[in-house]
Amino acid sequence: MTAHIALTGITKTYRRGADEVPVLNGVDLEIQRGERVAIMGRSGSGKSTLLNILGCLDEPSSGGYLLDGVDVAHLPDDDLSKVRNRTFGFVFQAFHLLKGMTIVENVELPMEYSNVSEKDQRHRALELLELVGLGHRVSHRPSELSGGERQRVAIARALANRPSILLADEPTGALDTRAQVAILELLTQIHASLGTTMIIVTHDPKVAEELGDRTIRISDGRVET
Amino acid sequence: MIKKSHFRRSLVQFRTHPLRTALALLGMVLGVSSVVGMVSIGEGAQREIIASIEALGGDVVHIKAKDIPDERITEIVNDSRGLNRNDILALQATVPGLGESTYARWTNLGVSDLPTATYNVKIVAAEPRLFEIHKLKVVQGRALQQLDQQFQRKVVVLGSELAARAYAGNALGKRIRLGYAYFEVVGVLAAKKSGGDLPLDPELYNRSVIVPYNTAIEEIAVADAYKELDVISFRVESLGQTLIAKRAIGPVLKALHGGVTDFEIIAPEEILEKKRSTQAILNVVLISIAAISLIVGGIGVMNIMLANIMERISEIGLRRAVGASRREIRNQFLIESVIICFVGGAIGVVFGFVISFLVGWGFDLQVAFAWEAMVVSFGLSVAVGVVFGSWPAIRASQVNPVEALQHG
Ligand SMILES: Nc1ncnc2c1ncn2[C@@H]1O[C@H](COP(=O)(O)OP(=O)(O)OP(=O)(O)O)[C@@H](O)[C@H]1O
Ligand SMILES: [Mg+2]
Repeated sequence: MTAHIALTGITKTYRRGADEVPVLNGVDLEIQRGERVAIMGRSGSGKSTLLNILGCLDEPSSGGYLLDGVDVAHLPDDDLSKVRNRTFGFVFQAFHLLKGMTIVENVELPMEYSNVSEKDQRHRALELLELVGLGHRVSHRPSELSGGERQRVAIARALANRPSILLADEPTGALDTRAQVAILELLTQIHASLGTTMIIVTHDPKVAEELGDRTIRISDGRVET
Repeated sequence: MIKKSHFRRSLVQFRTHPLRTALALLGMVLGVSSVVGMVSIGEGAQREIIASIEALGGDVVHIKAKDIPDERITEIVNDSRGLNRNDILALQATVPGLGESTYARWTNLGVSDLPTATYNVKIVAAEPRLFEIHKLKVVQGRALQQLDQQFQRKVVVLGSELAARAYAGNALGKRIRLGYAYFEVVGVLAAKKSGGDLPLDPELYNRSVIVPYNTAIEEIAVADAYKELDVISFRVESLGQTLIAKRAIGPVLKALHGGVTDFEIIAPEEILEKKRSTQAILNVVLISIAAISLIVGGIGVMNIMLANIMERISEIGLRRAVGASRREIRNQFLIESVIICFVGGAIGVVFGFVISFLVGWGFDLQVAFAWEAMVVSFGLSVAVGVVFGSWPAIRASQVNPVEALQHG
């Protein structure tokens, strides 16, 4: 059985003027379908960079990336966008909800870029908001919500197109302890019911312990063994 | 591909930034309304030219006697008898294409009992077809007829202004004295609009007393030592024939007058062309101004779209993360600027019509609400939206999503 995700020798080098800043120097990583992986490492070690490459939001400088056996390392923009839209759901530390829209409209956002009818979009979004426990606040604006609630909306949005992989970059980083606990519970529950593969970047060992079936560490641009 | 959701997104954007949207709109409204205004005023001027030519009959060639100073008359009197009725027959015999003719002579009003100041009032001794050929409309009573001419009836038709001043609208049937005879008013003319700088100003008829030619010769002694007539008019087939007729008449008439050019030939076609070419220059100026204001409006839209993109950079990052391709981001911003330009254009068209109407009314200019102007300005504003929206939209599509997500 091929791995859901297989990275081989991924490197990423940023160019800052004449200087080259190597961030990743050959990452090899395999992740199975339904697995939960926590990524840890010092600040600046390249966790977010790796996550963005995994999510096809950023291209590696070199190396191979097979997604379900398909090479996605260097696809044209249109195809990469489609992969992000169908296969991945992103959750960010800073939520990134659009403030001009209601929360249900925010959840519909990924479906706007796939072929879902407007009626089905609304139906699905309401269902997801119900799932994350915000079914009673669908027409509120993000600014009227607490941090924990905003992150629930963001998780609902990430699940809109039934992605097989959920990518979360410090999902609890901006939350107080009680909200953190609630978000962790929600993610655990989602994994249990949907079986979504989850890759979570965190610097908190407790989060890694709770959410990760496996924890990997990044240092010196490689996955520590 | 353009979807309904693009429009919805734009509306959300406009709702959340009303001031910014209003400013961008304002630029387009001003740009488009100036285009519409300029074109309406230019078009109006064009129509006014045509109307003023039509006022004297577009398909008529006029031959007008030149004013000759007295000291010159003694010099040429042996060669030329001035404009006279024999000229008509001679011209009709030699120049092809001349149709119906008429003639008139005008003199200042001398002794009369008109109950109003008679300064600048003219007696027009007219062959009755003058009414038809010079397009004189009668609003009360009747025009002069061939029988009036034949039997030298003592009847007159008054110009509109004169009738109003002297008789306050009750001129019909009044008896007036001109020279040593009494005349009955049988008709009143409709007001003639001024032809501006036409060599034969139709406004003259507003302050005139029109008398059958034969009657005038007999009863008021309007004869002149030198010329017999002041104007001869020939109808030709169409406006386009008037210049040809003028060129043909010139040499013949000069020969008839012993080599003296004591007349001036007026061909409406020629006047029209002259006026049109001056108007064309003016139109270029007007349209350049309009184009500049449209470009300024477009730059305003571009500016605001750029500011928009700067502010919404994290939104762009997020949309890319959830699956928007570069093309979709570009289309979204392009549609936004096209909508602004489209709506601004629509308001601008209405605004432009209102402004040109007010300007026309305030400065007594004719304005014409040309359909073409509306369609063209509408099309232009959409084009402005595309042209000036493209660069910001392309910039938005090239934003690096990872960096964009690091903002706010
Ligand atoms: N666009 C860029 N240009 C240049 N250098 C960059 C760029 N993005 C990231 N870097 C550098 O790459 C390194 C890794 O960044 P990354 O954001 O992946 O770290 P991280 O492990 O997520 O850190 P943190 O825990 O603080 O979020 C950092 O040293 C950073 O300065
Ligand atoms: Mg990071």
